[in-house]
Amino acid sequence: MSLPSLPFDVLFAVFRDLDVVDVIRIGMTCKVIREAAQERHVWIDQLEKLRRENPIFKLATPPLTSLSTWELKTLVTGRTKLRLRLNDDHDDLGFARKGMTIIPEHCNLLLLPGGKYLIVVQFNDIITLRRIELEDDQVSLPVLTHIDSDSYFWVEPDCSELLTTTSPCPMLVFGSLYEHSFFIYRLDHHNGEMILETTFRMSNGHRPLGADGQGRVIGFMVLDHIRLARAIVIHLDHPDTVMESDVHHYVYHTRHSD
Amino acid sequence: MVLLVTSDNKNFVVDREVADRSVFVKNTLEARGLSIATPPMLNGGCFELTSPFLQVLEYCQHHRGEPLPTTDDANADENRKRTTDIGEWDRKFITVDHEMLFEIILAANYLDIKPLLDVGCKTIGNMVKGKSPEEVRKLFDIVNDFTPEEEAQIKKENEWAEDP
Repeated sequence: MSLPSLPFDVLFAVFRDLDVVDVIRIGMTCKVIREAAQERHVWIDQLEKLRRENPIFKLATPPLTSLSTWELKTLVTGRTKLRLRLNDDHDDLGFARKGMTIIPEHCNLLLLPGGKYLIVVQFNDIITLRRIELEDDQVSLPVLTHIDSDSYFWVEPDCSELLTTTSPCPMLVFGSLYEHSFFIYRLDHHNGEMILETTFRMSNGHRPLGADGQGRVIGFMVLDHIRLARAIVIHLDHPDTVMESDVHHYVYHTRHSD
Repeated sequence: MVLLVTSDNKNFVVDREVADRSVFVKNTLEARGLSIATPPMLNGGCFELTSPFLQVLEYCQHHRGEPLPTTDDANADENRKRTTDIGEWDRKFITVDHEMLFEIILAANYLDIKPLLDVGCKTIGNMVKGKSPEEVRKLFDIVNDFTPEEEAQIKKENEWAEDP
């Protein structure tokens, strides 16, 4: 009887108690354990754990079903590498580097198609997008673009959502309750520009909820707080066509209440 | 009282409350209305059953009557989070050689005794934490069966995770 001869189910249960780094190390010991450590739901478990433990990682992530196992692993290890390198002082909640302070509640970390990371910081009316570069033990956060929100829209962290779709070209969708609009941007990989594709006026209470990987954004409009809501679907290719339908008995929770 | 028969034909008469710690035994008894259960692992003959079974019985005796964990996943997750530490009695109970540890875990897995499986897995986890691949191999007598090329490739992929 030895560790590699245990059933995979048991090995998975062992992995669940380990940190990402330990899962990788134990996966380097022999072929069988490596095979178990490459399984998809090992990485789903690890991602869930990261999200629970670190508020900064809890925010936007593409739907898990749309990711390959390799992408899942990249997502988990990338976030762990970032945490290890940014948190020299083991401060999981905030980090200060190069004179910049990022408050986790005000930023989203996104994995873009192709394995690149993007950090979106909302602070003092300005939204900043930075690329995360992890090279030679150095983290750099080059600025891609700023969106100055005071010109025509205002984003408060509490009432906006930022989503990516998994279309080849990342789309960022901001929803602002204050302006009652969705703002849909396309991010140009090469020069880092954010191009405003379209805006969609929404009624009070509309809230973007998610993007489904086929270029559709799903939103909700709450008609009264717990009884009735309206689902809206906007297709990014045809933003003028909005499908709506009533959803009864929908209990509305904001993500900040969980 | 119920009679439990192991694959090496040893009979154990235990209280129903003790036998019910095993979800497998509990379901078998309930489904068939019987008072005799044969744990499946013994039929496979993959290992000598009696000695880990005695250990498992001791665990079930100690924890008899405690509420069984729910099968609800979200709930189980909550429980897991709350009990990251192993209790005093459980820690002493699980302080055995590696061979017996694996046997107990295997038995807990087959017999579906989730709290015992958790204790076993956490114990392995605690042994592994912070150790290099080489140290883990040494600890558990794992044979490195990678070719030198494979090993070089794996090391390269995971270089960042090497240093504790």
